[in-house]
Amino acid sequence: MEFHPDVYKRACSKLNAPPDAVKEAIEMIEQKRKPRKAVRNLLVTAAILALAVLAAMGANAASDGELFEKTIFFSVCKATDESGEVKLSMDVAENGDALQNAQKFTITEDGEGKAYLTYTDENGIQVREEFDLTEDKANAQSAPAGQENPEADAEQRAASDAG
Amino acid sequence: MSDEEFTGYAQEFAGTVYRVAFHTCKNAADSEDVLQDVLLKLYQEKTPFESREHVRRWLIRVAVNQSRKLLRSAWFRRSRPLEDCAALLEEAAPEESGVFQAVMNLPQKYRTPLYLYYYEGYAVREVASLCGLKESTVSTRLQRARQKLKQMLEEGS
Repeated sequence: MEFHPDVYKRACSKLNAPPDAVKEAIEMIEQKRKPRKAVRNLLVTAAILALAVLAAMGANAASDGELFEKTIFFSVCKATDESGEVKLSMDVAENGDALQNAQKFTITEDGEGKAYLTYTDENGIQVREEFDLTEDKANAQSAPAGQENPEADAEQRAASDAG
Repeated sequence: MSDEEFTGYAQEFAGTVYRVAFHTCKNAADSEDVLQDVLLKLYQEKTPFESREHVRRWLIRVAVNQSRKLLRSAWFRRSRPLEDCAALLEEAAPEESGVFQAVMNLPQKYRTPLYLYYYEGYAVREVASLCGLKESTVSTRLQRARQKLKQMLEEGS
């Protein structure tokens, strides 16, 4: 019997990747791309908090020409995940004495969208404040000012335009 | 690369990647592993592709390399599974199964060039480029593959 390329080609056309394998590969790659929801919410909160801290410190430093004398920066920022909790620790410091005089903020998130900000106030007392990290709140917090509820704003604008 | 582009390429070329891997690994599980590795590399690739054919060639090249890498691994050398390759063909006629199994019984160095030349339709020069071989080497391997296949199929019949 001879080798017939056409027979071989017909045979190869019947060798296909299992559909599940392709689907699994695509899903695996999509999961690699999207950060876990908890970490994403936490990062949004951390970013908002960081901006709030910077704004507060910046406003304070703007008086008497101190704006250019203070440098705010963050050191070590890490997230750990233990039993559904996600923690983010930040050291916020001024000038060059970063780590000696660092103001430590810790954000902890449980698995239900609640986050807690922990820090030590000027009197040395540890303070723990609760944030609501449910989806709606996260969207509202991350929206630009004046557009905290974009859907409601759109409806309101539509209503006022019709009126 | 957008997610839509990636999904499109993955679905269009998964079969090609799988068949290239299978011609090296000769088993479904390892071929699927190679497929996943290659698709991940595709997603991570930052260099833009010029055309769909460019993507196809890139995938084949990576699949050849990944399959060879697996073949060289210590695990693969220790635990090669025995598998009836022709049994994985979907509703193949006996003649098709016979030819396919004969190709799978060839030494590995002949199988991939044979597949790329006859099934994917690449010229000798292109097969050489995809396999990282000289054109003369590919020509020789194709010729020897045909001789061995003829011998095997005649003995089989």
